[in-house]
Amino acid sequence: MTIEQHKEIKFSLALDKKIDLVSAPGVFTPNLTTNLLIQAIKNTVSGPTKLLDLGCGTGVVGLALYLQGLTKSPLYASDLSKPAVFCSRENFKRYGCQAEVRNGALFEPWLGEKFDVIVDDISAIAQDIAVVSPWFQGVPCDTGKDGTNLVSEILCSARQYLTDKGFLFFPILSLSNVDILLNVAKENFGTLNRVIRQDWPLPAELKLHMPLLRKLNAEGSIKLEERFGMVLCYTEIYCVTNFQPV
Amino acid sequence: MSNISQSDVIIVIEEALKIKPGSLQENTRAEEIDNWDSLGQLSILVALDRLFDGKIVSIADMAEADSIPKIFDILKQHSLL
Repeated sequence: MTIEQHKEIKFSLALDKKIDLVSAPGVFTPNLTTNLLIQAIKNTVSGPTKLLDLGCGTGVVGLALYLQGLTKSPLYASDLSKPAVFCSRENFKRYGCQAEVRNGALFEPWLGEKFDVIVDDISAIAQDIAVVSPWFQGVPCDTGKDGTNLVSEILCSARQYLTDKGFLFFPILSLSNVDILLNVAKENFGTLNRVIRQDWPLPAELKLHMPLLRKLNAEGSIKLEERFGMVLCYTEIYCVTNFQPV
Repeated sequence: MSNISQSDVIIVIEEALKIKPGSLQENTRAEEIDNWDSLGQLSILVALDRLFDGKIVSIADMAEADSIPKIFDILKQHSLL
């Protein structure tokens, strides 16, 4: 299989280390959330794990963790987008990472499997914002008005795909309803920890849509803050588990 | 005026941008520094706000200050340098 219009992109793993990746239209381009997910897992996981990269896109999260010795072989990854499955397979092969990559929605490709670590790398901002944002060009994002649909579904079903001491890592962006997602996480898991938080200024492309953002903010669907003369959002990475880590 | 010097400000900005000490000069512009993007700008503002005891958060012009000279000018206008 080949993907026409594929492109090469670079992802900064550290100050002086970059990963070369193949990507394509309809495949999510790694961004700040990607970086924070990788950092959060590095800060929490101490050795190789049976890892599932859910919504893998280019495969960058799994690949970055593989390159740092934090995944057992094979690495597991899946995405709804066929171009993403193609690109991630190519990228894993490029770095000698043995991986099983499947095509399908959420946990659908992994019925009956269990993992030590699941990384939820799936869209989580309000759908109306995703459509006008610079991040989801051609990438599916059926997240609902407040951005919680997909992540809520993952939180509700992840438990059956985790080993007894397994962890699920997931991002929450303030461009979704943070309170709903935190409540769903608490209802489904015994332990919820915020690992990392990063504030970031609203990009210029979204400033053009301030009436929409202010409306969603007023409705409680998202949270915006204005400081330093900037409109600020934030991304937090959470880790949930059903055992009590020592 | 505070007791904080221009070199103190430069050191704080270098730390905020996670770049090597000595990377910034008194005339450096954002476009010359890889890490000085919009996220870097926010990091600078948060760090300067800490340095100047919460006096930066209300200076809206600072969000657009994309060079060391502009930052110095704004700090001087507000009698912080």
